[in-house]
Amino acid sequence: MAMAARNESFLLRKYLYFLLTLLVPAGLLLAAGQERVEKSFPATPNCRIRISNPSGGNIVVRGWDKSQVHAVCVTNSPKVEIDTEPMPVKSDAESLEFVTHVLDQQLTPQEKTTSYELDVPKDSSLVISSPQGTISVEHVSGDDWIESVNGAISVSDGAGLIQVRSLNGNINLVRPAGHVEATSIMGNLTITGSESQKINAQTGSGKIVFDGDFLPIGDYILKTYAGEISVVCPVSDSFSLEAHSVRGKMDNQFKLKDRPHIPYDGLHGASAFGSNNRGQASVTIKSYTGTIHVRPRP
Amino acid sequence: MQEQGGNGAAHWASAACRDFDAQLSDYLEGGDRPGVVSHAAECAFCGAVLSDMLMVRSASAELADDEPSPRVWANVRAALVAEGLIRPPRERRRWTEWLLRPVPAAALTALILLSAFAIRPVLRRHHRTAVDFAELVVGHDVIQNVSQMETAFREQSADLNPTIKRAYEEDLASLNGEIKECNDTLARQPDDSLSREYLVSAYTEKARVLESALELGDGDGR
Repeated sequence: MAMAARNESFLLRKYLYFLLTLLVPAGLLLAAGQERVEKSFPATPNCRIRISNPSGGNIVVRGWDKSQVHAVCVTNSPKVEIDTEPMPVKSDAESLEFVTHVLDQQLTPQEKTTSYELDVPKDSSLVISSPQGTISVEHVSGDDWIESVNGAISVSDGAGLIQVRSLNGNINLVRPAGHVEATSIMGNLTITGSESQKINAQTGSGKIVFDGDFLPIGDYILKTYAGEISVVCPVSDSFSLEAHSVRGKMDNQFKLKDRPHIPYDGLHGASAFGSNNRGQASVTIKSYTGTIHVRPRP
Repeated sequence: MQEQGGNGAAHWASAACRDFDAQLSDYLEGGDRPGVVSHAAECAFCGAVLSDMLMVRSASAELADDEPSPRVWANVRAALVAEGLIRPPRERRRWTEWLLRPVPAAALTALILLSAFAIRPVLRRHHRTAVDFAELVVGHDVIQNVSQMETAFREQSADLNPTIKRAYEEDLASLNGEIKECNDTLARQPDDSLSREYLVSAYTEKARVLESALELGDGDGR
């Protein structure tokens, strides 16, 4: 009898916990004026996906093995609408567009924001624009165009063309394998585990950190105005270096072979020119006032 | 009827909503579109849109036909269109698409680079004041257009989200600092090729930042 009562009490507590786990998040969403919508779309393996989120909000996109796009979106006001446009409509989507529309311009900046969380076919290509909020893309091997004003952008294991621009946010690229174009005005650019053959990374006052391999037929340009540039690569890499800082310092720890001529006229400041091993990859590093570090990986 | 998900309040525009969008302007101009009214009665979002549009139409009918004062940006835009640097207004794109179809930015970059290379021999011959160096390197027209874009940005920036506005202002301050520093260096060392290169880059970036800000101010990013 006592055992049955204990079991009943245990089941009741379990039921209450279950209810709480369901109701608390829903209650938090409602308290914050948030609304969540979830939907799946059948899609082709190399679907083109565009997210236009002009009032900002966090965006997460992950590649997966399914031929399906699964989207979870959270708006912060009922006066914000998400328009979605799969093409073609009646079969697997070859392109899919998500557009946030603010129906009432009197909403606060926070109310106007919308967050997106998408799982997409891993060969998809992406176009994402969101002026603020973080943007994170993982394991998507198609081409990526990503732009922000204030938000940090992170792309991991991207294999296609990666074109990212955040005026003030930091850009973090992990194991990029395709061509990279990364630009910022004030944000830092960090590229780690690079397997890319072509990188053009430019920022104004931010720092640039590159840690990866310079592939023999690669072409690499790292350029800042005021930021420090730090490059680490294996001592076995074969590259030709042109590094110059007009007002900053030069810290080159590679023993470079001389090159026949200096590539700039009227040169002022600190520089390092020469080849490492056979000098196959082309590496150009420039900073106007920042210090440049070029170091072999320990 | 719009689909609902989660707790039932966020909205996906359905095919019926898109039909509503497609027929709305015709309905507002007096066309016989019963589907517009019936869909607006079923769908809260489209109902709100229709209600707003009817209110705007009603309010605009009461406005006097005053000639609007010319906006600086309209003039600047016309000048840039005439020079082929940006698209005509009817082909207006979303604020990000300048990056995706970078013809205007490329054209401006090409113009700036052309000016920079064309002027290199002149730089070697003359010592100029700081302002003159920017004009010599990137060209008077480019500087004037970028300056007008900056003026237009200052006028429109009140409509921007304050955080975004501050971000653009910081970017512009940073780029203006770069331009000044390169100018000052060129005044002392007219042959400094990297200072010329950075000056060109700073103007190119400034034009891109301003175009992005003006596009965002034109769209939903306020």
